[in-house]
Amino acid sequence: MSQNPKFTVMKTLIKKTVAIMILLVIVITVSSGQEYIRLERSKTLQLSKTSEKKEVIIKVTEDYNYIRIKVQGQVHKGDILVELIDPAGEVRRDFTIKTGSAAAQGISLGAKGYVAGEMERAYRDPENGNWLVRVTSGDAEGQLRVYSLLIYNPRTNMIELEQIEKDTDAHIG
Amino acid sequence: MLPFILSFGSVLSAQHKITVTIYLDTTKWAPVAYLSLIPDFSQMNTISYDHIIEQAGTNKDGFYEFSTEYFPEKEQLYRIHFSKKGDPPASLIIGGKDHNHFFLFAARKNEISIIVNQGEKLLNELKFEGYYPNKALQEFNIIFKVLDSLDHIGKNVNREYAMSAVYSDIKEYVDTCSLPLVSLYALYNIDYLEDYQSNPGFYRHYLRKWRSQKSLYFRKFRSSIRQEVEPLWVIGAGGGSITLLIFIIMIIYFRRKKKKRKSPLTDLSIQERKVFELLKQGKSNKEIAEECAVSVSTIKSHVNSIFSKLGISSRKEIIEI
Repeated sequence: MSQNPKFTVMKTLIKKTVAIMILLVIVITVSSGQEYIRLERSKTLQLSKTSEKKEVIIKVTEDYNYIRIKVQGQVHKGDILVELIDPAGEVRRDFTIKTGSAAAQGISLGAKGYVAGEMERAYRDPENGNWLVRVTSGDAEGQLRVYSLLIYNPRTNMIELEQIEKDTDAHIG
Repeated sequence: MLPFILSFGSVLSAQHKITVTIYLDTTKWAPVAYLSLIPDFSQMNTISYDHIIEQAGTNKDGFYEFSTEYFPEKEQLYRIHFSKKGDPPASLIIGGKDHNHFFLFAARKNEISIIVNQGEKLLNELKFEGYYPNKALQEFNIIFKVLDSLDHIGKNVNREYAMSAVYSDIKEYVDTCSLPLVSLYALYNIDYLEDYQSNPGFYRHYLRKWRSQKSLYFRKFRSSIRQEVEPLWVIGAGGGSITLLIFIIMIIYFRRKKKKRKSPLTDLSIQERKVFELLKQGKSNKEIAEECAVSVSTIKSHVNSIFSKLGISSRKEIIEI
């Protein structure tokens, strides 16, 4: 018994539509598995008892909607000023490490004959341009490590960014 | 009677100390608290062994204590911090969940209790008891948290506008706070030197209000404001000096010009000037005539002309010129 040609065409159309829908669901599921794109960088500056200024540039393009910067300094001698500067030239945060004299304060150092300072900042939708970590050394001996984490999340919303922030806590540094 | 005995007993047992109640995760943090004296508000974000004045291990209750018996009599700013295991004692962490320090005001023989509530952060919430300026400090810290959180609002919201609003709140706090050091502490948490440029009146009023404050904190603040103002002052002074110099030069020039113009000698001829010089030396007409190789009558003529031009009537007056 032959089928009505119209019915056959309709059946084929329904099959194709269902197949396309299934494909779409698969594509959406797979793409949602890709949560965000992250770019993590690290740079170490050696400070060798000279008075100078050094800068680490972190380029931020409009693609990124989250930045986290962490700066860790260890100074054995002398002092350093560390500044985090946004693309507009505004100093967002700073800290200073001065060695001083532990013995004069009666503090036992053990093997830790240095002073440590650390600064961590995170910004949502950061300004585009060059962010700077500037270190001004006053005859300092030691090192400075700058970590940066840039995140591009195509489906930005506050809840997801909060989750990203929690995730990055475990990663950075 | 019993309450009296109890209160008397409590006075006797009163201990002048700072007690910090915190349950540290000792797998991550060294069980030691460090106390630093911060001599200048601009050094709040400075770590140095020179600032650390005492360290404390846990007491019998597992908490940290610092005696305030030896503290300076007048209130000062102190910082208490903890160091991670493996980090040196002088170790400062700013921001993030491991932010490891907090500030407090204290003076000699204060009794202060700080209870730290931990959440995801080491120092999630602080509760102060005792010396009351620390409660005001905590009030301000709540306002400051709003400023700090602006980094998270992103560029979609007008950050400048939001910051301006929070700055206003902070400056209102600074203006109305009756505790001078807490007020100044609050001011140091904004970029007051930049703010000074756009609103110097606020700072002039502030300086007048607290002009009786002689602490090092206020002296440093005044000094920083002066340094900010100085460039303009120096330019003003420099400009004033240049103006004064030009003025003096002009006076000298015009006086010379005037003198030159008014000098009667300029009206004399060359021969008359020569005669004038010889007259000044007290020489007679005859001596002058011999020296100039002219007749005495010619010299008399010159002398009369000189007298006329100089408006004088005797040789004595020539010597006095």
